Amino acid sequence: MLITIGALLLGLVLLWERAALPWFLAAEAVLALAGVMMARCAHSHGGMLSIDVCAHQSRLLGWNAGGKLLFTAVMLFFTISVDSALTALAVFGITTLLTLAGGRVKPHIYLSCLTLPLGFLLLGSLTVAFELLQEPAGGWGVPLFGMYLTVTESGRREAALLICRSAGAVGCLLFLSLSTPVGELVAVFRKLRIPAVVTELMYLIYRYIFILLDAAFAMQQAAESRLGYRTLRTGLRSYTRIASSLLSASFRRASENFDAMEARCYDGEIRFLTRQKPFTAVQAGCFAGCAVLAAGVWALLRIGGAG
Amino acid sequence: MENLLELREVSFAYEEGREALKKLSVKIRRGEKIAVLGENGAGKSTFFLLCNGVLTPTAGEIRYSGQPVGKSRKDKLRLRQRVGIVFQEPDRQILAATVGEEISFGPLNLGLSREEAACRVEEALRRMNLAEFRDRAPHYLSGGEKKRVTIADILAMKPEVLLFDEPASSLDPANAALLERTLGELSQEGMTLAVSTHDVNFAWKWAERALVFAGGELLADGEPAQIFSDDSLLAKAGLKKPLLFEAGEILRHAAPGRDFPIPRSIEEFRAWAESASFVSG
Repeated sequence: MLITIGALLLGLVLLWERAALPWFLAAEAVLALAGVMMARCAHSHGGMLSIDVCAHQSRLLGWNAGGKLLFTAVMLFFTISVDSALTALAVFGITTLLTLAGGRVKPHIYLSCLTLPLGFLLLGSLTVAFELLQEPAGGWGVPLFGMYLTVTESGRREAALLICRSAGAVGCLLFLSLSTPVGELVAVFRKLRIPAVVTELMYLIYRYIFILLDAAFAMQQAAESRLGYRTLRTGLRSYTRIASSLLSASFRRASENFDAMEARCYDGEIRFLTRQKPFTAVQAGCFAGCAVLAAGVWALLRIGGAG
Repeated sequence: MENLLELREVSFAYEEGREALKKLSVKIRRGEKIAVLGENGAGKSTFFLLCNGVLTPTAGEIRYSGQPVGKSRKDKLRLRQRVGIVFQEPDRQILAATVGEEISFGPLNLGLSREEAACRVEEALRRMNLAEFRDRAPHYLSGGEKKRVTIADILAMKPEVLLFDEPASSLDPANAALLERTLGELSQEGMTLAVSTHDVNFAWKWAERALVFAGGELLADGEPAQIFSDDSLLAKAGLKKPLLFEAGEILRHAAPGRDFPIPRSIEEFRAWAESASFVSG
């Protein structure tokens, strides 16, 4: 839904008044179809869960988590600070390629992980293109409170840059989250001397997402089997009941989990024996290559003088 | 036999005025095989959590190897190290993202070095046949595999007493049989075991001693043969007779004076039925 609206908006902002009406309508139809396809793809998998499964099945699982984190951080800062939309898109392409070809993540799963963030960032960034002006820019505008809601050329460019940058950032983060289980990341953070309270909270929150999802899913199925979602009304009622009982259920589970931790001599700090994964020259070379590629795109565009 | 764990007049209340356990006195000796029986809410789980120091008694005293266990953190940690609990639901116990890390949680809490902890993890993995699962995520394992992980969790801490809270409740028959074999191996190695269960057939087959709880009180403590022959006790505790036990009783009743033995397991029953004493007697 979100992604479809986002796609339609994208067409509107980018192509309105730039293409002839039939072309514009055709482009909108194609974009809407793409949005619907992506949304369907995402629906067939539980997004959150599949991210974790993927991380555990990734071919890059054996790579050093610290290395992956460093690479992600560097690429992320590069994407956000660079002022060229094409470079940001290149970063997105590189990280996507790394995830798909390097990690052997299946394309439809990658697409389904991408759908939700992409929908949000399309909606969020595209609104930047709109401005409220006295005069409609470029000949069109929606009258609103005696002014005109309109898209300016500079707004358009700004929105495009924002979308590309955030797409690049999403690509970086997806690379990390689809190749590195949270447990390993927490271990790296601990090595970086991040306070135990923070890392521990991170870890527990991550654990509880699964516990809550599990409980919510079971309750939803139970409600559905009793026709709880027959109409919109009963659906809403079931939904609110599930939400409220989820709270008490999670409190109960939390206390049971704490008992189990206490029984194993938990002393206020969660420690695990993580497997050592060496940072090899191959890994370093691969990351350096990707970074150089991105920087190269940026430099070429700079020399060529294009945005 | 040497007394390991001793509870003296221990009471416990989760909330004021409503006692979950009342004046419980019990001794657990080294190497015993104890079945803990009783309905849901009879106090079995509370009893286990008290034994391992997760809960603190509201009245009474707990002793380990003759030493009183105080309220201090150090005393409690020592008790938890000696007495391990395998919880009923593996998902409530499992914490880490891989099986290997999961098992290392306990040993690291004991303050062992990395090398020593790694050694213990290896040993526990081997014992529970989990070596191939070392790098797998425990939440995606099957029920029986998860149960094995939770047992390995506790074995890695090398306790002297091992408490199982309804271990077979979430297992299919094949995995339940595997669990029984594991329990047998552990007691052969001299581990002291207590298993809470609703399965009276298992209790009759396996246990040397039974504790019966009802309404927060210890109704009976004794040999299973004596407990299962007491009909009024069983009714009060909401328990059924084990099938083989009942069948043995019927045989005895039908042919008084022939003194049939009551078989503990189907294998025992077969051996006896095929032996001369049945045919000639």
